[in-house]
Amino acid sequence: MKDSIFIGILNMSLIASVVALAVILIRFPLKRAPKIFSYALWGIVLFRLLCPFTFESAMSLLPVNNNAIPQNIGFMQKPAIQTNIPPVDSVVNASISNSLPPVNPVNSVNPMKIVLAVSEMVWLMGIISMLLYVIISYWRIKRHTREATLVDGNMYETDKITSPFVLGFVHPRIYIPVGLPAEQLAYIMAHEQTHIRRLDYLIKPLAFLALTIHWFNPVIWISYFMMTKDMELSCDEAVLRKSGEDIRVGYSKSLLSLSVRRAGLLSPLAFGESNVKSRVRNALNFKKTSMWIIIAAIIAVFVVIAGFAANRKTIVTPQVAIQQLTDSIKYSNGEISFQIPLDYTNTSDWNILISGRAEVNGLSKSQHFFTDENQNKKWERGKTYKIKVEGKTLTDLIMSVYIHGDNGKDIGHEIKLLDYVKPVEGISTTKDNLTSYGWTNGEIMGTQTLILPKTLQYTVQDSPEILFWIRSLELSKDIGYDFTPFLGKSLNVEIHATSGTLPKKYSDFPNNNSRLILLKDNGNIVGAFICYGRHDGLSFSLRGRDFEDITGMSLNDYWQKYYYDTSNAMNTSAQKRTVEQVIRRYFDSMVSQDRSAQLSTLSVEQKIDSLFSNLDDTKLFNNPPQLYSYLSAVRVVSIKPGKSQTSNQNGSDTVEYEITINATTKPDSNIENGVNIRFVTVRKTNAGYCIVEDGTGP
Amino acid sequence: MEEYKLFDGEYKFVNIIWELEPINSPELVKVCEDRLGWKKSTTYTVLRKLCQRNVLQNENTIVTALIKREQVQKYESEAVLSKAFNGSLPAFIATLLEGKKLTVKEVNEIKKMIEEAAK
Repeated sequence: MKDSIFIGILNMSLIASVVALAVILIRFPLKRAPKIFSYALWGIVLFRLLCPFTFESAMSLLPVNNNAIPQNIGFMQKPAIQTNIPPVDSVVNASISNSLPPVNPVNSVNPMKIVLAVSEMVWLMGIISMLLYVIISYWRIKRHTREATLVDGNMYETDKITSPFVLGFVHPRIYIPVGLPAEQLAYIMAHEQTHIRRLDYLIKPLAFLALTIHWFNPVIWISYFMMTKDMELSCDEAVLRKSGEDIRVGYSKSLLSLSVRRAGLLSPLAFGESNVKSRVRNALNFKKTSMWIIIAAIIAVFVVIAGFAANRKTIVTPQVAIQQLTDSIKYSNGEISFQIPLDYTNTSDWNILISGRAEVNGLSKSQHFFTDENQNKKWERGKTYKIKVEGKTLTDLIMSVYIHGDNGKDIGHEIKLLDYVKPVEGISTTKDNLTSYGWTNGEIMGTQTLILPKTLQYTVQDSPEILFWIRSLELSKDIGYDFTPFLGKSLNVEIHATSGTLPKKYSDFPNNNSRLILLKDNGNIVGAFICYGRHDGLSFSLRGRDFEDITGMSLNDYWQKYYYDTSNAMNTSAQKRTVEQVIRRYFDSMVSQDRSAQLSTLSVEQKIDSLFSNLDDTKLFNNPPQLYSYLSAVRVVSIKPGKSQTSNQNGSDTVEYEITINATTKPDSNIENGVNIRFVTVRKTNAGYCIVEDGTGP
Repeated sequence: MEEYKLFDGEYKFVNIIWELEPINSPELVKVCEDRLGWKKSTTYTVLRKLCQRNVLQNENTIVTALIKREQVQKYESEAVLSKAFNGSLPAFIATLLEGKKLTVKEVNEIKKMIEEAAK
């Protein structure tokens, strides 16, 4: 990845701010020293603002890391900075994570990346406006000095300006207003020639360039104005020092009279410039400084320059190095890649083992990777290592990352790569990414666009598709695709024919052909899971785990724990119903064709099944769900509780009832008119009684 | 008699022509480079401008003045500047870059400072 200039600038700005604040602090004790020292100090700030290259030194006074904002911040799961100043880090990182929506780990764009892209645009526009401003100003000044006439040497006069200044880069000229008194002219000449001799006419545009690049940083604006002030004050002092006699009063008068005349022209280096009061005070108070103050000032400036020119040497602890390496691991498309951290210099300390276990013709065979690099200590810092492993047949893949510690102890950890699915950006084809789970990606059986429910809160009488999404979300999350951000939004559904090995507990299932469901947003996969489809909608994650394997609980328990509103009126009335009421309601709903009423009597499993019974497999699920409707009129004659079922597939908390009904059945149903006996199994749940099964026999 | 307002540079330029007219333009360029420090292009620009305003006349590279010394009045610089720059910069940027203009009170304070130091 190409390093972002913008992030580089942010880091430079951060360091320069710290240096600038140090300079501002040191200016206080230097108040009585010649201003040339304060002026010189800004040189180091300018250096840090403009020069991206520097060296590392253990003597550095910088408290901050030189790359506090990581280059890959736009790709981080949890964007964070690392300044080395813990309070700063914790405050900044907390506000980053609070202000950004959570990262959707799939191929949708990381919010931090968007923030970065927008900031970069704003930054560039700021630079462009600053440059435009300075170009226009320069052009105006140029125009107003074009007809200036030669006075002497490099001095020109014109009546189109009011204060004198130096202009030009190669052969700077001094421009003065016409008709200045002779005494003032001498002072101005001395002042402006000093600027030219010290190359201030180059330093000031350079400083403005730095300000242009770092325009977003208020500390740099303050620094810019302080620097120009120090430049003028030290220039005034140089004139006063050079003069044989005491010209303080005359010089101050000239400063004042030119300031009164000035008319707001942007003056690059003007004699009668801003801060007249402090300049007059400084000029009047000028006296030759004592040797001791000068020596002290020289030492101070030297320490600051030496201390802040170099970056702090980055010392990476083994713990940090292991974390960096761990963060760099990617495992996708059956390829492992990781990077040996650049900043950890003792590369021979690394002990990295990658081993896998593969099923080959029913035999388990172990595989090892990068054994040569590890045994011969050939790991290179900063290098990215990649290796293809056969994702399809691997049953286990472990990477152990260790560093030999100083005390002989190894530190590090083991990472189960099969659990370590870190989707990389830019996955566009399903084939590339998903086949590593061992499911083939066959032809598309159907596509559909549908809107996900806004919320997964599920009330007993709601359409069961919400239950389907509660389940599918967990299945999809199992391989790293959390589509929570798309709730309430429209997604494209692709139903692919797929085949692969079903999880062991489903080994008695008729065949291995199933459906791979992909949820896509603008062509990007945002969710994926296996859903068998027709009849019972058996569903599991691409890693072959079903809902219970993943969450450790049944869908019913999970719903009641996370998505069940106990204060909802529908929920509470369903909860209060007796078994008898539930059973009567169930039969009545068939006659009244009240879908909601029937749903409120059914178990979660029944409801899920209603989505898949007689499903057209080109559809994701039945809409509307297929409910029981074999009766057109009914009278429940009697309800007899059967025996409590202890070792039944429906669970220990269910009771079977023998129900006699006198009914008119629908012509297409296989039930005869008149008196019928139904065997209905009822379960008691926290959400009330619900019907688990309705059949003709016990 | 019509009056002409000239800038300082223009005035010095016209002065040269009064002194040396009739003068051919290549020679004028040389003189202006010498005395005014002007480039060839500046001389021609000012010449063209003043010809358009009927101050000067340039016929077959021979330059002569069309007006007399008494007709000329110099611009006052303050007026030009305020015309050229008023409102041209956003006020806050101008303030940031150039500092506030002095108030009468401040001027008096500074004057007092200087007077006290002069004692």
